Amino acid sequence: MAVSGVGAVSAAGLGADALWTAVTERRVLTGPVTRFDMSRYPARCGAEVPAGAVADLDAMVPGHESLAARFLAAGALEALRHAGIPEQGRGRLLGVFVGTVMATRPVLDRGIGSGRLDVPGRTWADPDALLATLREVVTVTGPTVLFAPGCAAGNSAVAAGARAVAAGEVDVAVCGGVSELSLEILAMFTSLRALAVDTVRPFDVNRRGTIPGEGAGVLVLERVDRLVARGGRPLARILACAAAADAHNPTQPHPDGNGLVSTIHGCLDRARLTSDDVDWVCAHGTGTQASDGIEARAVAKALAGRRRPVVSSIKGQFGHAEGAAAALEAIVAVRALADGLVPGNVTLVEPDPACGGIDLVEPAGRRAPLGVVLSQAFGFGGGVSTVLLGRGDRATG
Amino acid sequence: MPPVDDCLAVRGLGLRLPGVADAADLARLVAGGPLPPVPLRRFEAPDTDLGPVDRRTQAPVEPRIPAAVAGRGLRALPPESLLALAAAADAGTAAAGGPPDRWLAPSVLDPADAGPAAVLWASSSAGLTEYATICVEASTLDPGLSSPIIGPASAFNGPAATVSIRLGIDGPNETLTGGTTAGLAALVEAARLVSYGDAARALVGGSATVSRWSVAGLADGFVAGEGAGCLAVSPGRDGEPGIRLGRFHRTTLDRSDLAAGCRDLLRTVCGPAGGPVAAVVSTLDTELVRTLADDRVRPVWHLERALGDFGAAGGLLAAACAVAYCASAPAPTSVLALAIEPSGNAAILEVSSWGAPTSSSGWWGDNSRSVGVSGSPT
Amino acid sequence: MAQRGVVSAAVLRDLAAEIFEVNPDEITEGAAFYEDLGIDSVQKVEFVVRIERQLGVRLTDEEAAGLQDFGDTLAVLRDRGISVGP
Repeated sequence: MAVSGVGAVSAAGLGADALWTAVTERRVLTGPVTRFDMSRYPARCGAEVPAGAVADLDAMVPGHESLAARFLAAGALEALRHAGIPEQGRGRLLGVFVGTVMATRPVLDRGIGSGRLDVPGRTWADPDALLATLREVVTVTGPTVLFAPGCAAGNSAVAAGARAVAAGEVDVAVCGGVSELSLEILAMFTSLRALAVDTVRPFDVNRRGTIPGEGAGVLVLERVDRLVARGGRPLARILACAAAADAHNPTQPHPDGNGLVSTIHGCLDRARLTSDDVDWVCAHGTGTQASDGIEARAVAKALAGRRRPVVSSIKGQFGHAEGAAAALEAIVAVRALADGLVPGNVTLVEPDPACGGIDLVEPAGRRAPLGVVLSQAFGFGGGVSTVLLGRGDRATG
Repeated sequence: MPPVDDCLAVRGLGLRLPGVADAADLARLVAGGPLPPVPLRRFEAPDTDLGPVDRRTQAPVEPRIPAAVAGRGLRALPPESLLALAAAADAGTAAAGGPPDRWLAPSVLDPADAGPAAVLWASSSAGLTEYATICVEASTLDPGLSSPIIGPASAFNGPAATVSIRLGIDGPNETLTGGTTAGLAALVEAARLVSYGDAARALVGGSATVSRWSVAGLADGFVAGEGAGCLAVSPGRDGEPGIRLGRFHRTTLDRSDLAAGCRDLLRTVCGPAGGPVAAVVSTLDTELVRTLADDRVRPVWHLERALGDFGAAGGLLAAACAVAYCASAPAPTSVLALAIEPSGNAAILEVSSWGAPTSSSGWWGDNSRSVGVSGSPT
Repeated sequence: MAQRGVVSAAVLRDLAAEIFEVNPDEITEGAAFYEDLGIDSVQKVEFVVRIERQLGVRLTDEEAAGLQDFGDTLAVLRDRGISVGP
């Protein structure tokens, strides 16, 4: 299964290049939220798609009440053009697989003020509207499937797209994850006392919570032979996908990370690889106290081998982009494989001794050839979805 | 690559629908039985500028949580999660009751060594009231004073998460949303997960709840649907009598002529003639259903017109109707479940029975009664 | 709980019992929220927020995190000058 194109909208702006450049330049993109008035909130940070980038969308995609719908369409156009696949016309069997957490619901947030809630229109009640802009700019001939399984959404979409391609249901799977910054989510995390005041520091002993982000990540999947036959070259390969559930608690991961361990084993078994073959774990690492520790222990256990697993989270730079997070991370994994750079834990100051079982990448990152990357995601509700990626130029990764 | 079509047998059906006591009841409706009257109910959203609205809706559906899964921890759950849990628990245990075959394990509540079970759930209303409540609280209370318990329930995945957590199901856990096709797509994804070995069996459901918030997302002119349905599925064996999920197809039809696209789709799945005795259609396009019915190839039953708009759960409930019908009619019987959205996004699934139930009480030991196979309920 | 600055322990106990889904008798001053009552952290934060809403006080993150049992809760409220009756 080949990744033949990628597209991104992120706190770094428009484009997968902007995303990857921000990673390599170690830019921290969280900061005070400008889209909502958070002056009375104790923690006021987000990782917003910059206002200039939002304005630039006007030249690329039609307008829509849902910013997320426009992020998704822009990401899909970029990914299809990157893959060299015409976005219009019924001459190819193309399906769309999208993951989100809140779909169009954040449109409702605009009515939050003081006093009565001023309810804008009804787009917020229609999750399918998330796909409206994409449908305007891309001719979809296969199925469109919208997943909302919590924060593993992006990986769920990649996995479903990969299954559809493998089954021959579609030739081209446009797989994406998307979210727009939501004041509802900021209010929720404020009440849960889970927001960092200044910086997300995944796996740091002084981590103080997460910061919500936003954006869209889109990957185009095709069979390698089809891609090669039309003169293309895989950017990377999807070696395996696996999903599981903690079946434990609505908001807390299982203390042993059971679901995560199960998906890591599932991916390795399916790809016939071992722990030692995994060169980098692109972690979920949200910067919350309990979750990072559980993830570190689970990864150490699931990938026990000759060396400690090499782990970093990009959420110190991009915040937690919720529905977009796993898809953006998959794109970072694709670029890391192509460029031979393991991104660092940019905001890590003092590694948590409780995370000693994993090899936390220093902020500068590491120049090293990568063959295989594991990218994992989980969220409220206990759903876990993990994707194993390999280099585009190798048969087995 | 293992074939995905024809791989799943239905092991149980759980229903929480207003005025529908069991699968046989649902089958009678599909066969043209009289529909219950639906009262007007008033919905309000205090502390907002949304005015009250009157909408035809059945009285709230009681979850009736089975004793085996009741207990502490349910009080804070949204009603839709409770409906989902109840329907899923019924579907998962129905097979334990009897013939013709069992869920690979005695029940999904006791999975033994049957392999991982997946949960796939379709909903467009789950979490919406909770999301709106947090928005209202963010407007009317100081920051940090919105309810911490409600917040995490404001996403779509409450039903799937609740089913997994309360029933201890640790396989893939997916929630699908969007239009009516989502519910059928959930069954397709379940078939894929089983066929690729990601899961040995699955609980596949859909649900909807009605509030002042959810009615804003529903089409005008339909009853606002509330309730849940769930199918328990696992691989079928060759020659095994029972109810099978057969051929399916997902596509996007050309919006300019949905009727022609639908006819092509029906031919793709069932050939030019014969085969399925009826089609259960989930769509908000009443005109399209009328056109299909006018073709007089087979009776067409319009889920939304009969039971109401259930949003993303519509496709799943269409499949549940087809299953209920096949369970109550003499085998072999085949019924199509079809979902079409205004965008052209569409899915179709063939549900069939063959062989005879080994118990006079029907496929799942419930009080299924035979229904007629004729009638044009549209 | 209508009067600001005054609350009865019995009312708080009923509130905790409702959120924790236990019998009010189980909410003794020394029963540990997590170990003895088996609640999760979100239930505890819900309890804190409901107290904050009803009494008009705000607890710091440290104070909220430090509440191990019902006795701690009463002590924190008394520290804030709230009169806790029986």
